[in-house]
Amino acid sequence: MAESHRIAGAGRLIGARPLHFTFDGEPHTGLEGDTLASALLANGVHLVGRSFKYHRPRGILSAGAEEPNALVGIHRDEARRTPNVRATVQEVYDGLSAVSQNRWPSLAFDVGAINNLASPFFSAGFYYKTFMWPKAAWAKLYEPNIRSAAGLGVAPHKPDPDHYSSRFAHCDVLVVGGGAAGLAAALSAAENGARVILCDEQANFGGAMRYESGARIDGLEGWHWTQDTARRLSEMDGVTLLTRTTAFGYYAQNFVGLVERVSEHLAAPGDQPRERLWQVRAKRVVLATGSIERHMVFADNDRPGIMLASAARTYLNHYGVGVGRAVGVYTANESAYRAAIDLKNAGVDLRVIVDLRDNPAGAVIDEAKGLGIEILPGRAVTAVGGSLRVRSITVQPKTGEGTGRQIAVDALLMSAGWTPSVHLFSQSRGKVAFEAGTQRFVPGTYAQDCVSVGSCNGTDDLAAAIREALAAGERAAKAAGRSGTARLAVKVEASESWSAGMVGTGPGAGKDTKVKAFVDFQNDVTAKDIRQAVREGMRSIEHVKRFTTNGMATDQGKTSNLHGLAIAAEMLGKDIPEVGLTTFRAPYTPVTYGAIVNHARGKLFDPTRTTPIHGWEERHGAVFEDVGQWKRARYYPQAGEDMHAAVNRECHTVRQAAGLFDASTLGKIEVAGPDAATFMELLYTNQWQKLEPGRCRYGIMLREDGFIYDDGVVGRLAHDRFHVTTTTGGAARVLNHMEDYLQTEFPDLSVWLTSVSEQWAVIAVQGPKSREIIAPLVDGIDISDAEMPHMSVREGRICGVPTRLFRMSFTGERGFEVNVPADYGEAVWEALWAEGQKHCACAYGTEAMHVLRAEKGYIIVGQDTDGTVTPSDAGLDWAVGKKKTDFVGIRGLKRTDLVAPGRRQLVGLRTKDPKTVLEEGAQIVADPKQAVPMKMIGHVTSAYWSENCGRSIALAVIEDGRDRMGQTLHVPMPSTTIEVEVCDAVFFDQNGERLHG
Amino acid sequence: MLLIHCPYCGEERPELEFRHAGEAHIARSKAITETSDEDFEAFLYLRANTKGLVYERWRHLHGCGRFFNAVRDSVTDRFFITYKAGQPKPDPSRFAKAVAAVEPIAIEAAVVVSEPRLQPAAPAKAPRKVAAAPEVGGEPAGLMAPDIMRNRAKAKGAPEAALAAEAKPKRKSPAKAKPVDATKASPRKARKPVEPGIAESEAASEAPSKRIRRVPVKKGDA
Repeated sequence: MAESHRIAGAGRLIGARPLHFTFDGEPHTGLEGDTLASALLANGVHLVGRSFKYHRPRGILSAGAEEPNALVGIHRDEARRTPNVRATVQEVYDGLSAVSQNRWPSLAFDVGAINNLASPFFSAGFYYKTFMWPKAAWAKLYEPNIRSAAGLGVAPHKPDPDHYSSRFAHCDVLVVGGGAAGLAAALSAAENGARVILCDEQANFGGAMRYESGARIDGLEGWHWTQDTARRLSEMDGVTLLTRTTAFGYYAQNFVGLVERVSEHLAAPGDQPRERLWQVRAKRVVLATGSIERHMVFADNDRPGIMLASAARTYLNHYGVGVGRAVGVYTANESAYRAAIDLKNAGVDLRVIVDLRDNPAGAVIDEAKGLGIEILPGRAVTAVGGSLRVRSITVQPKTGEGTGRQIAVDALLMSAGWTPSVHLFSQSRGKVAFEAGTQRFVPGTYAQDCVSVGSCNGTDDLAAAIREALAAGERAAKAAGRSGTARLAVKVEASESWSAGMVGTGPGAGKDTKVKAFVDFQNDVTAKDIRQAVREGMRSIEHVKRFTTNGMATDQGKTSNLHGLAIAAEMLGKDIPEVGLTTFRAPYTPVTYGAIVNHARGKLFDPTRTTPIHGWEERHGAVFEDVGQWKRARYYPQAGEDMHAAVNRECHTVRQAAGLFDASTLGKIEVAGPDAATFMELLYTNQWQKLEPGRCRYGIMLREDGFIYDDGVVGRLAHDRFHVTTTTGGAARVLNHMEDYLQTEFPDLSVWLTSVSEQWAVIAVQGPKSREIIAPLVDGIDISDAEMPHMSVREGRICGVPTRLFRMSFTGERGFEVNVPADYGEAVWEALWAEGQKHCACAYGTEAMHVLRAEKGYIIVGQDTDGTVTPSDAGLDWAVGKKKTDFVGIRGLKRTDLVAPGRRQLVGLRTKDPKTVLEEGAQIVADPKQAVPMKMIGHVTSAYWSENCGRSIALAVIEDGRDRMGQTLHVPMPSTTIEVEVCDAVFFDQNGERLHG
Repeated sequence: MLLIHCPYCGEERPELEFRHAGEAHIARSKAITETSDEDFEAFLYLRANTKGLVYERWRHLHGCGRFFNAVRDSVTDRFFITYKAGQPKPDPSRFAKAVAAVEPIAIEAAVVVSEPRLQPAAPAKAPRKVAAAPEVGGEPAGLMAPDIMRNRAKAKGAPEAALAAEAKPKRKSPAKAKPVDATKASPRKARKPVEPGIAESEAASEAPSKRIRRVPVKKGDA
């Protein structure tokens, strides 16, 4: 019968639109406003999953975000298949398709249940002690099988097609939690002029009023007062109300992360984002996060049909669902009595209330008795019958005397008390305090501008909670600088308030027992696991937690933490506060990657930087490579060419005729001021004072520890102006390095640093014909060898626009680098290209650039150096000014290790077989026959096929490399060992004549 | 996300605009070539990494680009002060009281209860103090406290209940107040383990600081 457990006239979904959904392929009906959990329960379905380790049948424990058991997969379509969704949170929409997890072949008959029988092998910490032998079995047997058996849900196999929204928000007061206390605080703050954001994780505001039936506030029934207050708030300017919104993380200085589920509950989300991330900076935060009910810890307390008492109350009073037809209660406090009374009044057969306390007394107990409910005080539930559903309970006196009495039930409600939700308070770095009288942790010392109100603050009485909240809201508004004068008063005429309860195991599941009394349902942690941890030597609660994984599942121990703590404390013989509480971490409940990553996907993952000449390069078929965030042309394949063919042609052409290369990505810094040369002398190893304006020098920059940090050609434009270049990847950090020293070490120097990397487009024209190519276009500069020798810089015009023209070369050919203001880059390139065509010049990319410079033994910082290479190692000692008294790195260079013999020095390598190209990073040894591990004496830093040399070339750093010229060394590779000969790092044009034309 | 007050821009900006730049006040010797190996090693590599008061550098990279210094509590990430490069290092005693204010304050044991209360009025709570904003005090000449510090010093927010509790007369109790740092485990005491259970009866006439005694549930008790 459809919705067999929906009770006519009960709940708040009366008259709601009916809808259809499926669970494991079975069709069901529900009502709009149902969660998947309430709809399943309405249809009498309790079995919803199989537990993580033991594959025990599991049902629905709660009615909220603390749910550890009812995790299902929600499938919208091929791409949208979300695992591990809590059925108690997912609202039903028409056509929803849900599947259970972690079972095969079916929920009712799951082969994995064999784990339950083998459970002695799977006790706490078993993975530290098993699957170790034989060692070889790990890769092929253990790991693949563990991987497929592990986990609960199945990850989607297609990219996420949804989009997510994000916004920052600032407010005066952020109120987290929209129950009675939260609504009161928000109202009070708003009435006092504050801009308020109020959020609640449920679809409606109301909090505990969803299930409490005995509250009366300002003449209205509790729930109605909350709805009315929410309506009042919605009509106020400056108040933002967010439902379906979880505050998941409390960060520094009142920065709180919220995630709003925008369309998860809609059958047709349309264009809406799936979720919205709110990053809120609040002047004051009010935490009204309530309390979470604890379950009772007894043998087999995990059977489907056994749930929290307040959950059953919620299903009845809000959703109109009776969770069973013969319901029992097991408790140690009064709130469960109220659940029993509500169910009884709704016509459900309430079989028994088992109360662990000897003499429970009070109005609510009397009321229960008056309704004819049997109450058994001083008793414990010591056994549970049923597997796929609870069928009976065995009740025994606490003292353990006598045989148990078996009572048939199809649902058992339990309550061990209420745990204040101090998660966000704890995340804010506040320190909790332990209330011994009520055996709970409450907020103690605050670390941020926030306040807790209501039951999360240990204030159980409704009237006191509302008073506290009103005062907190008013205070928060004032502290945020608002000057309101509203002092609200709210009259609580009737309320329910609960305190006390118990923590830890009841009789029958205590220290000497071996029953499976579950503490953490999601990770299948039982009381005996925790006791075992202590027996095995875990003393700190942090160790007990990690050894047993108690509290480490996606519910982060919401129902289990305090129980686990109490059991550990009992074993250790300590008080609970001495054992301590583990740290709560964001997120409070799981947050999707989509919400966090948000728009930063695909093309928006990282900014893409392109040069002004990028368009031309694209149109001419360039294949690009990523250099940091830059797109650089790597090579220009012509018809039928692969990369090697293209690069070989480009390298050949540059040395035969000429080539054009886009060098715009390199860093450029203008160093200007009267003390510019002094500053340059301090930051680089070189001499700069005597460099004439119009000349260039290759500069080496070190870190303070003496290692090469960056390099680049520097042109002196004037006495007080240097045009400094850096590597592409080093531009930002070189400028940062310079600014650091200028601002904090040498602040008295009169010099200014300006990044001009993006202001200048740079076109390298390299090759024997380079001068012929630029000559017709250059104006106002004598570019003859005599007037513009290698390593000089001139200012003038090219194609009618200003230029800084450098005579410099990274290829070893005669060459120029044409710097023009970036906006002219493409046009000047086109003009140079047109000239170049007359001389059979080509365009070449970064790959050819790498090969050409390697042929000349020019290093690339970051390729041939790795942060542990000194100038001397790299053969660049000539660049260090010997007479200088100070520069960054001068003392570092003198450290004993940096001057010791045996350092790895830059050399060239020729493979015995000239066709073999070495692999960059390959290790080098002297004796290839030595035992493994071999003594590695160096590694290959750069390796290429050189068309110009007709053979492979390589650069390497090798211990005492310069003393090994002509030596044969070996490069062991997985399949073979390659013989190499140490040689000079310069492979082409040893004398460097081609530079000068 | 931290909010950091840039002493040059004169306002608080989000962490995204800044880059951390290591420990502050590590001077590069003016005669660096004469530095001994030990001193140079310390200059390059040895850092304090204090739990508590930290003196560090920041750069307002995506702002004015200036380097400046800050004093921060590495436990709470609370910034006490930021000041311009070149200004002298503030004395740690200025911040000692503020750092101590966020240390846990001892909570005396709550009142003993008989049967769990049916309708607790205001449950008797131990006095719980809310940490007042750190008192940065007056500004010494030359140093600028961020605006937020001034505002905090003025508005000492505290929830009503805690304030009311603070007004209670101090209890005379011989026993030491128990530490409340719930995240630390203290050395093991020799104690008879008791079954954790409901808080059961002991007369309320006992000294309030005494721990609640729970009657062990043993087989054989009537």
